[in-house]
Amino acid sequence: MKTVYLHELRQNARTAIIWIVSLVGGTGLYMSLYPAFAQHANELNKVLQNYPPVLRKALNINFDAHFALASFFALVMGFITLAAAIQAMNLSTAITSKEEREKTAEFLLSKPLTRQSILTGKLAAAVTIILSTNVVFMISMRLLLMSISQTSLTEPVFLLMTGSMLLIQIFFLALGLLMSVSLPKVRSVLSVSLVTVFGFYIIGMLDAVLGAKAVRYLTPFKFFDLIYVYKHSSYEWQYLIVEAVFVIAAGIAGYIIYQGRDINTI
Amino acid sequence: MNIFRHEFRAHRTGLIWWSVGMLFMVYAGMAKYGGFKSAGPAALDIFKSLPKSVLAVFGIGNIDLTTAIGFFTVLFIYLFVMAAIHATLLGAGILTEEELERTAEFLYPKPVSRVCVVAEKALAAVTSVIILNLVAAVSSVVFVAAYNKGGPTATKPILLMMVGMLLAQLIFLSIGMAAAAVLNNPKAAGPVASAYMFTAFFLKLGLDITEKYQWLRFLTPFRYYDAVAIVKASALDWGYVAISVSLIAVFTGITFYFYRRRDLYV
Amino acid sequence: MTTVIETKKLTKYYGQSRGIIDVDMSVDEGEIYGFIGPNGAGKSTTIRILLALIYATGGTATIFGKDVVKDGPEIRQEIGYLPSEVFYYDNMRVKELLDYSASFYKKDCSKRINELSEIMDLDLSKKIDDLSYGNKKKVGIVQGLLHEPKLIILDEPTGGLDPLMQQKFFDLIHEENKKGATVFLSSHILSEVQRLCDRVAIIKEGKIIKIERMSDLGKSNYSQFRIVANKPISKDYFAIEGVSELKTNETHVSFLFKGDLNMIVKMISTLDLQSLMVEEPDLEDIFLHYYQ
Repeated sequence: MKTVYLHELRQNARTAIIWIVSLVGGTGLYMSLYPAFAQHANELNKVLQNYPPVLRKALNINFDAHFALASFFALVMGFITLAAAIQAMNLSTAITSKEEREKTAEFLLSKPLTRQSILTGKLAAAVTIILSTNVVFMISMRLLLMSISQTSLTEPVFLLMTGSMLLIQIFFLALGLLMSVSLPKVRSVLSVSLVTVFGFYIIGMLDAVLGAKAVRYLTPFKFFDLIYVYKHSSYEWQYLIVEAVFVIAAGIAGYIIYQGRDINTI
Repeated sequence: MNIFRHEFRAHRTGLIWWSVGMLFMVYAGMAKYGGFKSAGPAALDIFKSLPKSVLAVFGIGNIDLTTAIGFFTVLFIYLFVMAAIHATLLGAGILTEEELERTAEFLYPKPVSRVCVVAEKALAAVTSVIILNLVAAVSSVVFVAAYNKGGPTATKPILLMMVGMLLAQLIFLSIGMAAAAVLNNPKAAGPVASAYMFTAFFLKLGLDITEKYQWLRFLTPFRYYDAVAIVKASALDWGYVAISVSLIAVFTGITFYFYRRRDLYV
Repeated sequence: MTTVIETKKLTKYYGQSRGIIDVDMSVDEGEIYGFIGPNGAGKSTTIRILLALIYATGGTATIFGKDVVKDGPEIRQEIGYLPSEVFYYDNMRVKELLDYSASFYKKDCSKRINELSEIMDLDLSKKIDDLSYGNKKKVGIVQGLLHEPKLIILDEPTGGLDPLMQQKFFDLIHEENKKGATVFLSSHILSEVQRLCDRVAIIKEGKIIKIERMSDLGKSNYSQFRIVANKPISKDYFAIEGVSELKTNETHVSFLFKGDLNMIVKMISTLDLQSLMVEEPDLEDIFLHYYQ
């Protein structure tokens, strides 16, 4: 198991570094737009002071500096979690399908290892990569936010907001695992993962058809309302439960299916 | 034309799924408009004077969302991304599939030149792209009309957007093919081409929330055909059309030049 | 006699690493030409250059007197190729694949497809995905021969075929050859080459080290000696000029000899012999000799 784990880490290291750099760099570039936004928000706030209080209340906006930072950061996190979801999905969709597509399955499975330990080794490597991505991301975001804004988010709010990326990635890690072991043949990891991630992203805008409430339960991109997180310093627990149930179920199903699966050789 | 026929048939099932997805998205998106219109938030008026970045936080572009066409401009970017993913993956895939599926040793010893193989494959891909575009165009026109009772006809701007989208699709297609032709490792083509496509998409998102750095818009085809600008001008920007056509020509040229000289990966 | 394949100083480097170096060959019309060497010697590289799958870094290669790159498509009208490993579009049926293959040639191949599948015992209605490796190989054979090519190129063709099918396959190749087809066969299995070929080129580490008629190779002036004596023989007793592959183990000695037979017989006559065998070496021995 340990050898599989280390091998997988080594195999994925380069791609992981590229992802981490792009995620941090991309977020950095977006956040560099914040100072201009803060200024606009400030002006807007002054304008809003002149509107009657009833209207202000109806619009439900209050552009104090904290809220300006939180809402802008929430917007950027919305963009960046989409990319992060692709990273996680790429990793886990490849997890077992890659061996079969590249005809290395016979090599690996003829070694004295149980399928369980193979899957565990690979999964542990994927989880390690996702965790490192998030640790690096959180640390650099903390530093970045401190450097571009005088106000800052409180520790719990910051952790919960950036943590939504980790939770969304774990969702897609589980989903990709399930697809990797259950699809008969994955021709291209990239196609499967792009289509799936965008599928879920787009489900988010189908509220009119599926019902606004139902949609929030259906796609991880809607599990975490970051403005809610900002206001209440907590996630909405019902979505956390949905995620936990899905991840556990997908994980167990993944192991069972892989155990019983016929491996495609040449 | 036997390669063309073979390729078109091989990608037919995939194309049908993409088309169904496209159709469903247009339907679901416009259904949302149905609900949105009846809610009728008149307060939207005050937002018209607000800066871009603030509007983006509320998820509103600077157009009247209460009209069917105004609402469609929001939907359009999703259709656009979908079509772009399809084109990118298809472009990279259609040229690398023989090497990745190890059928290169079947096809290339046949009495056909590389130029002929690329030309027929490109033709098959272009046909797919056009069909997906037509599905998007027809369903958009039909569904927007269905929800546009009494409003001014929206057919012309929609068709203009679709022409723009087609040009962008062809850019992504030709970039995918060029990546497949230039890169030695056929496995790298899909990731490289989609990395560009996503960078372009995230760049577009970034440019939407700021007034700065607008010169960067040349790097992202998603900005060439901005829905709001097309609705306002009721015309395409001929400068961008010219850029699109030249990009397509350049990347197609690169594809043919490099593919002829390429050592196949067998 | 017309030359079908001709290479001059054909060289291929993959970046820094060696593919083939200065390969000179000429294959005549109507012959079965063997191309033999161990794994990694450059056999597949040479074939892929001939088919313009990859491009040479130096030298020239012509088939039917035409350049393999410039006139590739035209040349390949008349080439049938069977790769060492066969992979096909696995969502297709056998019939569909063969029809697709036939659609590249300017003749009607449907009759030949049926004949060949009959001979190779191939079920046309099956999905390629469901075929065993050996059966995929049969598909490969049929798709390579269905247009009655003038030049048949085979890259280690018999892997995955059972002995019965191998026999049928060799009969088929012989028949095509009798009808006038030239055959270029790469292999690392000597018996295969010995059975089929008129001439053979031996390749080692990217270089051709020997080209010979099969008949010459067979009855080369080498003789294989195997001696068992009653008393131990000293290790250097036969270490004289003309002897190679010398193996001494107490009373047992074996070696290849090329030179004056009278001299060696005199040397042997002084020993107290238990048994003596002198035979023509088989290709295996000669091959080892080139590869020592």
